[in-house]
Amino acid sequence: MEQTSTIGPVEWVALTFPGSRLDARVVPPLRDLVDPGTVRLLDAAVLHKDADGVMTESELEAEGVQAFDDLDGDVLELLSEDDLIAIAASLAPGTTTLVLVWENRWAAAFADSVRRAGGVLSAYDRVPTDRVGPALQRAPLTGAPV
Amino acid sequence: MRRAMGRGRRGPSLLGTAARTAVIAGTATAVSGRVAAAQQPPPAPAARPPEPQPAPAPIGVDDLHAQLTKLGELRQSGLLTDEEFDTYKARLLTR
Repeated sequence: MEQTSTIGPVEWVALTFPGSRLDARVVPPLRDLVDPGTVRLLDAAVLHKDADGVMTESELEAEGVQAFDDLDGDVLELLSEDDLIAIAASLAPGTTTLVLVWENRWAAAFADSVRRAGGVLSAYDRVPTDRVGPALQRAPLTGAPV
Repeated sequence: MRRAMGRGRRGPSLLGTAARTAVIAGTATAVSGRVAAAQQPPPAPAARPPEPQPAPAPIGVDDLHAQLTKLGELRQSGLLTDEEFDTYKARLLTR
């Protein structure tokens, strides 16, 4: 992948799982994004909410899940205590949540090319998933070159 | 993953209000637990705006300023919700 100094768009997600342990099965697909440099992991934190709704903040290395320890990325502690408390406030009891912050490196390289060509970003949004399905079904799939 | 700082999560908020608003409704539950309780004060009972007054006298600029300031203070202190503030403010300005 092309090296670029621009910082790509940074996104975060909170992934909530039932129970009190992180599931290592999410690591391999994450590794497939990280290893080729498609995304760069910038932060990770873990939130436990017990059956009584009491929240405990934790860090990945304290979870004892080897797969995460070996995953390439940095824990830069960008997420503040307040961020994590605010996220946890709405989570269901009896769950474990992995909060990840990453940079879309692929978009940084693309943005550099656009900028060099004199282009600027005029709009940006994500299409709601429930609109994508019907839209794709309407689209003719002729296979003809555009 | 590598821990690059090790100083704890005491920096400024990265997410701002999105940390609360971005949580998807389906995963949210009734707020329970100590942390949540500490974070969210119980909602104030909804104050009903008073019934419209019949044709009030026009208001002077000084009075207007004083009343707008007072309204702002009431909102700041949490006695008025943003919505109530807007209602009263609109009412003041149309007098």
